[in-house]
Amino acid sequence: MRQLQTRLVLLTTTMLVLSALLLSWLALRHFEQALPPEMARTVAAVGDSVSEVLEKAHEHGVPLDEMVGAQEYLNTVREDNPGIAYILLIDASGQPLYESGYDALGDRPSLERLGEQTTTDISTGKTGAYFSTSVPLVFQSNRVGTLHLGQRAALVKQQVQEISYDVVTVLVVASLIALELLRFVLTFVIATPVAVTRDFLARVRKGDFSHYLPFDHLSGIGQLSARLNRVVAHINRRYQALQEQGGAEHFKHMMKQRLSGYRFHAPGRHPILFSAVLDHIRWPFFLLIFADSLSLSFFPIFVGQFYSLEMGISKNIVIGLPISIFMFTWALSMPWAGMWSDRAGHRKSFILGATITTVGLVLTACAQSLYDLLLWRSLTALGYGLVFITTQSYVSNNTAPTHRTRSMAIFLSTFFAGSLSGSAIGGILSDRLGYNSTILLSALLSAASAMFILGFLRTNPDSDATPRRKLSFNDFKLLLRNKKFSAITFLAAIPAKIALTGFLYYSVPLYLKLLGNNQSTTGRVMMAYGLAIIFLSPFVAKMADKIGRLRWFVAIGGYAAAAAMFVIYCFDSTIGLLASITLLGIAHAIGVSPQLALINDLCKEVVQEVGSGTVTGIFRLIERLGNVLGPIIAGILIAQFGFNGAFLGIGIVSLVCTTIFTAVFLWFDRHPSRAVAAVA
Amino acid sequence: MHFRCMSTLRHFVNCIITSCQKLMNVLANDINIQSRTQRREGVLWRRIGALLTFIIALALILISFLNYSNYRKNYQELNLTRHLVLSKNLRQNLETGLNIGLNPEENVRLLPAIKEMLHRHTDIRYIGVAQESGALVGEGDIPAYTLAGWRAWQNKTNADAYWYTGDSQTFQIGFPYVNNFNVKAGAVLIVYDKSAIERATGDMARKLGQDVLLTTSLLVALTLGGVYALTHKFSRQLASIGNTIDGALDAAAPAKLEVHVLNGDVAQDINDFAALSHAVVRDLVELERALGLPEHESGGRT
Repeated sequence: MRQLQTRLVLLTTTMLVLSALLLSWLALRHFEQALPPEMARTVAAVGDSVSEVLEKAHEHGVPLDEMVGAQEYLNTVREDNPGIAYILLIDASGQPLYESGYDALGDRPSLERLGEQTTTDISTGKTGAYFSTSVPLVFQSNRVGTLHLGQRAALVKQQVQEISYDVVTVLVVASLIALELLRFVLTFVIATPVAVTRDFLARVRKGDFSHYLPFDHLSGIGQLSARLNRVVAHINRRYQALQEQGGAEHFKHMMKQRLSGYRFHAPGRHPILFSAVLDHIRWPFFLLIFADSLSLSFFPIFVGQFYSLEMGISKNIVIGLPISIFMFTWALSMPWAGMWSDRAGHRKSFILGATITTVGLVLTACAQSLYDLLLWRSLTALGYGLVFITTQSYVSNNTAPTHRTRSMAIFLSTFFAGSLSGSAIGGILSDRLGYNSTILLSALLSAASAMFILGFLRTNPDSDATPRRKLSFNDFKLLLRNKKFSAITFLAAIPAKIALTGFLYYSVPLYLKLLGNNQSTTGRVMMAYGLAIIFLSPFVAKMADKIGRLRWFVAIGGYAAAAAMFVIYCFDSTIGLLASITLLGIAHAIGVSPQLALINDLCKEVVQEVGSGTVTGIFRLIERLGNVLGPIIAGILIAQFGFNGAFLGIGIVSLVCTTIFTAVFLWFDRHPSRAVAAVA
Repeated sequence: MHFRCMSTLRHFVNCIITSCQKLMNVLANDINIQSRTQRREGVLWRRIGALLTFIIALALILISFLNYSNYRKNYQELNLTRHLVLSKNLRQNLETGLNIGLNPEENVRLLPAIKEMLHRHTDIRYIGVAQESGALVGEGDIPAYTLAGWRAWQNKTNADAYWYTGDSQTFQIGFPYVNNFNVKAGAVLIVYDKSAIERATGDMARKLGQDVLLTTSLLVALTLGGVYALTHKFSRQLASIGNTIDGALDAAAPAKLEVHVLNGDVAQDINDFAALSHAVVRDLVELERALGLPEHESGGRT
């Protein structure tokens, strides 16, 4: 069955990729045909206005070849329109009269070639390395000359290339969404029925006829469920009929003896088996992260609408406030969210989290003032935090220890896939729908994620959440006293976050702007980090689970993060930065997913005592310190040593922390008794 | 004697009729099971195929929608750039006039220049110069309500910037100009038609829509064919597993699946299930007999 699923995944992925590539290629061809003439119209408009000025002079009796200041005027026009590489005015006989930029060109198109292009209408054609627009100068019904305006073909090509990058971005983003949805569907058609039927048959093999299989809505593999259920129902009915008949004591004794190896369900009950597969929570989680990320690209502008001078503070501070409040509430909510998730169960806490997020988003869209907005963003962060921790807790609770790193990597890659797709699509949607409607759409998607959990995430009756005690300060103390927990948190997790926020989120956008890149390029270059995580982390984590020795993966990840900083220090360019960001993504794909799995492995006792959700919550809260420290450290270093110094500094922080982490764990290996004592 | 013969004959005929009825029922049941099995075999590939095709088609629609939105944005920006060039040109004329002391209403070349620009650029519906004093020099048709709106835009736009807005029919650009003292003295206004842009982007939407239809048609054929090829054998095996499960209760001995079915491990699981179910039912039957319960009272299969 696994073979069938793999083949179906391969077939669908191939179909998706091929059809998406074909569609994108067709779209790109249309754009390449439609946009360059539109670009040429701008140049023609410039030519038109130049021609108009010249005509006026001509009407005043100044012959075309005696216009004083014409050369200076053409220079001014070219300065105003930096896209135009040259302007050349030739007379009716083809002799050049005035030029701007033409003579200075090494690869200028020859006059003969330009002459070939001369027609009675404005025309654009490619002449050598330029797109040349010819504007005929017809003054008082006489053709007196031609104005040639040249745009570098490379510039037009670059603009078309920009559009092709957009097409590729759209392709990647839509494929990410489709692949997540396909995985969800295939799970419910094949993987889930297979898993639950296996569990059911294993129970029956032990003589347990007390459970039924769930109804299969899609009638995939689960079409066997109805038949298996019929057999179980029949056996239970006959057993219950015997029980109802009662009979003498010796009969009851006989019945007990005869059926002692079997288990049946109580009359009137219909217990159903469910399987907890990781992919059940993956799509709803993706959907919620996607929903919340839709507003990422325009949120600062949205907040800016609420700014007024009467507030008495800088607009930049006002814009940053709701984002900071969101991050702050999200971080603070984590330990409590984890504890609540442990107590209430994953299904309930995810639904509650998604509902709070939905309400928060609806109210955000309807906010009337900055104060409303701050309140509603805090509410959204609460829900978001609850979903975030619940998903992690579900992932670590429903995975065998041998697969824990892989499942955390899947969590990480789903988070980045949702975040990346949401922010990329949000900008486009807001252009069409407006800010408020896009945020309302986010709310709708967040509600849909709750509906998916309601419909698809079930837990077995015998695996209900175990009630735990309330969160206390002692939980923090217990965890922080554990040397291994502290080493992983302070020497691996926090430095990773410092590199993420200090380098990627804070320094990179500023530095790319400094290198002369526009916002689109910045977005695309930064996408490399998310893509590296999405595509690499599941594979690396699979390897980590197979090999074991998770702490070496954490260490390698730390060293690779340091190397990423040194790359940009040595190769100071946009390409260097792209390489550096990609390497940081690879580093985090290697080193970040094993962190929580390592805590679960090495700190088993304390995890059992505190509860897996609470441990995850506290770990994520402390880890957020790195998020706060990152921009501060980067800011100070940039101010003192410039960007390169800052990159080097962040690299040194990573290097030192990773080296201490490695040394500490080597010491734990050599002195296991001390490590145990430390845990106790 | 005659009576006994008649009675035996009647009994014989009845037996034949009953046997025929039973045979008919069995045949009908067999045919029913066969068609049901075929239906089930068909259900699997059709449903999986339909679901997968639906999701990929959704992705293709999303790709086209996003590409179209990007194209539309680019197209609008190119149009904006072109009209900004024209605005800059007009502003330059205006500032040249101001340099020699000519206010817009005194500049006799202004209105003809505006008319000429309108004549050359058919997509422009209005060109005007709005002065800080409130006076307006312009040409073209423009809804009255925009005039009031411009004042507000003019007040909040810096001299070195421009504003860009629109309504259901037009896009509007405002480009402030300065006087000799470098103080904002008014703004050049250009209002251009949305319909030409809508037409061009609409054409692109149609092209992209056709591409989606073409790609989806190819995709449907290939995906359904692929899913059928992958699941056909599997469906048959599922059907034979179903028959084994159905026979777990009634048959004298539980039916056994061949070990190669679904890589063997599932076949073993199902065989175990059938054997165990059969054994439980046998135990239950013996207990029913011990209690003297007729078999039909103990709950028939549904």
